[in-house]
Amino acid sequence: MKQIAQLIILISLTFSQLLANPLQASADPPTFFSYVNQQWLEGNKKQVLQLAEVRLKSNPNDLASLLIELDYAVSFMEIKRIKDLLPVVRQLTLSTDTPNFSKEKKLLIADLDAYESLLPSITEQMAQDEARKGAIKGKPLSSEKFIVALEQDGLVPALTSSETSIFPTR
Amino acid sequence: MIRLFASKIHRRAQTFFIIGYLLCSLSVALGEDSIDSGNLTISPTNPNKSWSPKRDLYPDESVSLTVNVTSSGTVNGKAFTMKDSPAAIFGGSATLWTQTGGGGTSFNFKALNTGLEPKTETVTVVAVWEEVPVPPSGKGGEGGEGAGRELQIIEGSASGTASSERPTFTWELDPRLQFADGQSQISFSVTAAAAGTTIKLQKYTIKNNQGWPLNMQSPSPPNKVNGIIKSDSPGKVILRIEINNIEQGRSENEVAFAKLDLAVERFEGGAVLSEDRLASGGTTSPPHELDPGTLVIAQANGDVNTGSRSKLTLKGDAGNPKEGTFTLRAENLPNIAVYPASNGGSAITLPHTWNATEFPADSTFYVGATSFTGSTNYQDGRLLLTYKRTLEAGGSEHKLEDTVGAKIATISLSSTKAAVDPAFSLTNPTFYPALGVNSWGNIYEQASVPACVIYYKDVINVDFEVQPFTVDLKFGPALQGATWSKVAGPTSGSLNGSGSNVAYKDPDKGGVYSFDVTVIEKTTITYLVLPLAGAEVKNLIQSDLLKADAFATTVVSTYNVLERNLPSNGNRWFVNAGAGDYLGRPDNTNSRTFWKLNQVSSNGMGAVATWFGYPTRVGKMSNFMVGYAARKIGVLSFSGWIAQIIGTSNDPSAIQSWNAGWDVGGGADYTTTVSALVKDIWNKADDKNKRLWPNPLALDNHVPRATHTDVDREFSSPGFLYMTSP
Repeated sequence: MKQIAQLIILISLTFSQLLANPLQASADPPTFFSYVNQQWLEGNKKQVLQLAEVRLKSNPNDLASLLIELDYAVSFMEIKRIKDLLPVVRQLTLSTDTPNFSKEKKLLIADLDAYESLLPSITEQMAQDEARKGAIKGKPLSSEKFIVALEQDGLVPALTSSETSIFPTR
Repeated sequence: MIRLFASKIHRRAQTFFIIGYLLCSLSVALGEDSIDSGNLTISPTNPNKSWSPKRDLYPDESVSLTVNVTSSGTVNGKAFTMKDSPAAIFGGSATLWTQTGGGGTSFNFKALNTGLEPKTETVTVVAVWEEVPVPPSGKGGEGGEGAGRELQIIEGSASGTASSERPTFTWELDPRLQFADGQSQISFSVTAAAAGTTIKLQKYTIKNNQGWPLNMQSPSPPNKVNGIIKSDSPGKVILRIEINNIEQGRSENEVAFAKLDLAVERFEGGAVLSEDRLASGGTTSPPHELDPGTLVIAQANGDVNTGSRSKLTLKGDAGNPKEGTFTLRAENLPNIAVYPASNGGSAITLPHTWNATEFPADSTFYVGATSFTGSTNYQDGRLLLTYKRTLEAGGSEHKLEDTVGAKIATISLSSTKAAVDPAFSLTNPTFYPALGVNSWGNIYEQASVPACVIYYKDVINVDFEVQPFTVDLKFGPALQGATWSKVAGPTSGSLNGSGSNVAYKDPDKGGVYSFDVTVIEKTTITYLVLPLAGAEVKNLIQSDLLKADAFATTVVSTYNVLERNLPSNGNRWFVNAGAGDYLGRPDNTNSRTFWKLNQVSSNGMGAVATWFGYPTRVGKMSNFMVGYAARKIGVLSFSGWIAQIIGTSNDPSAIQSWNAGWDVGGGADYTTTVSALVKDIWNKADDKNKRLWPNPLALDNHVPRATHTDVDREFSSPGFLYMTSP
C-alpha cells in the first residue's frame, strides 16, 4: 500500500513538472500563438504584453507583437496606446501580403476601422469603467485569427526558453 | 422338243392363272372400271394377232381380252390341227394381266391397274398346229402324199399389250402452318388429271405419316378431293394420296402444326382470359384475351418498379420441331414492358426473339408499363407471339401468331394550377416525379410516387388567401365501376362526382392528399401534394430570444465596448462554424415538410420554415436573431458592422430581417414586428420559398447545436445561443 502511494506521488510529480513547462511537455513544442493565447486566457496578460515588447525591441515591425500590444491596449482601454499603435499596425497590415494573412487582412482592417470610428466616442469615464474588464480571464485574443495567419506564413519566430521564462511557472 | 415346250408353257399358264384369278377376285371386289375390250382369234390360216386398248389404264381401270384358238385349218391344201393345248404367257412382272377364264382353246384375260408402278405388259397365247399326215392312198398302206417327209408346223400367237399410268395430282394446302390445338384446321384439296379421261378419286384415300385426323369430303367434281386436317400434337408432314394402300402421289409442300399460345390474365391476379381465336377462323364473342385483354395501370415518371403487372403466359411446346423462332412483340403499346418477374427486375427488350431450340415450352412473364411522362396517353394495343419456320418445298417461311390485347391505363391528377417544373422534364403538369423522402418510415418515398403538385404562390391572392381551385382526377380509359376515394390528407376540400373522372375542389391547406382509384378489383393510390414548408418556428425563436439575452448579458459583462464592436469578435460569435445560423430543416412528425422542394445543403443551410404562418427562409430567422443579439450586446453601428462581419453584400430581405431583430432587441414587439416582416419578405422571396405552403404545426425536431448531426432530419438554433464563455 505504501509502495502504491509512493508510485502515485512519483507520477504526479513528473506530470506536474511537465505541465510547468509546456515546451517540455510533448515532442511537439507549442506554437507561438497557442502558447501566448493560453497565457492570455489564463489571465497572464501583462506577461504576454512583456513578451511582445521584448520582441518589438529587436524588431519594431513585428506585426504579431504589435497586434498583441494592440489587443492588450484594447482590453484595458489604454486609449492613447491604441491611437499610437493604429497607424503602425495599419501600415504593416497593408504592406503584408503573405498568403494566409492576406485572407484575413480585410477583417483586420475592419477592426482597425472600427477602432478609428469608435475611439472619438469613448469618454475617459467610459474608458475607466470598461478597463476593469481587461482582467477577466477566459477571453481569447481579439487578434487570434491574424496572429495565427502570420505564424502560418512564417512571420512569427518560434518561442525561445528565455521568452517562456517570462511567464509564471505553474 | 415341241412337246416339251408345250408342257412348260402349260405349267406356267397354270401358275399365272392362279395368280390372275386372285388378282381378278380383288379387282372384282374393287369394282374397277373397264374401259376397253379386245377379241383375238388365231388359226392356222391366221396364226398371229395382237391387240392394245385405246389408252393407258389409270388406277382401278381394266380392259379385257378374249383369245380363241381355232383347233384346225387348211393351209395351202394341207390340213393342220392343233398340237397340244394353247398356253398363255404373261410378260414382264406379270402383275398387270391376269387370266380370268377360259381354258382349252379359249382364253379370257384382264389387264387391271391396281396402282402399282406404271408399266407396260403383254399377255400372249401361243398355239402350235401340226400338219395332218395324209394316209397312204395306194395298196398295202404304203405310199401317200406325206409319207417320207417331215410334217409342217405352224406356230401362232395372240398377244394383248396394255400400259398402266398414274394421274398427275395437284395439291392445295391452306394454311401451311396451323395451331396444334386439336381444333384448328389445315384445308387441303387434291385434283387428279390424266390424258384423255377424268380420274375418279372416290376410291383414293389421303394419308399422313403422323396419324393426324383427316377428314375427306366426297369428290365433286369426281377428280377432286377436299378435306381438313387437325392435330393436337406438333409436327410436319407431306400428304400422300393412295389407292389400294399404294401411294399414287404426294404433296410437294409440307404442312405443319405447332403449339403456340399467348395467354394473359384479365387483370393483375385475375383469371386467365379465354382464347379469342375460333378454330374455324375469326374470333369468339368477348370477353376474351384480345378484348378487353389485360389492363395495366401505368406508373408515372420515376416509378419503374411498383406498377401493377399482369401475368402473361407464353406457350410453345417441347415437341415442336426445334426449328424456327418465337418472337414476342407489341403493337401500339409504346410504354408496355414485359418483365420476367412479378415485381422488380428489368424488362426484356421487345421485340424479343428466341430460337426454337431455346424457347421454353411454357414461360411466364408479367406485363407492366414503363414509367411515363404526363403527356403519355392511354394506350390500347396488342402483344403478339409469332412462331416462324420454314417448310419444304422451297424453304419458304411460314408463321403462326397468337395475340392478346393490352391496355395501359393512366391515372392523372391535373389542375390548371398544377406545377410545371422543367427540372423534371415533364411536358405536362399532371404528374410530379417524386415526393419528399421521409425519414420516419412515412409512405412518401422519394422517386416512387407520382403526384400532382400545386404551389402555394399559384393559388393565393395578394392577401395570402387561397383562391378556389379544382383538381381533376381521371382514370383513362373510362371504365365502368371505377371509383375514387380520398384516403388521407388535411381536412380541406371535397371530392365531387363519381365514376372514372371526378374532381377535388377547393383545398386550402397544405399537405399530402392521397386518393384511391379502384378499377376491376385493383386499387391504386395517387397523390395531390400541396407542398408544406418546414414547421412553424415562432415559438422556438421567441424562446431563443431569451437565450440571446443571456448571451448578451455575458458578453456585455465580459467585453468592453471596443471589443464588443470589433468585427472580428462579431465574426467569431455570429459567423464562424455557423454560430449565427439556424441549421437543418424544421419539421413536424404529423405535418411533414416536402423534402423535394425544401432542400437543405450539406451544411444545413437553405430550408424554408413557417414563421408566423408564412413560409420563410430559415436564413432570415438567423439574420433576425443576429440583429437582435447585436443590439443586445451594444453594437453601436449595426449596419456597417454587420456588413463587415459578413463580408458580402446582402439581399434586401436579409437586411430587413437584421433590422427587425435590431428593432426587437431595442424593445419592439416580437409578434408585431415579425408578422409584418414575414409578409413583406415573402413577396421578395425566391421561387423555392414561394412554392411551399404554410405548415401549421410547430416543429418537433429541434435539437441543441452540440448534438445536431443530421441536417435533413434535425433543426438547431444558432450556436452563439449556447456559448457560455463567448
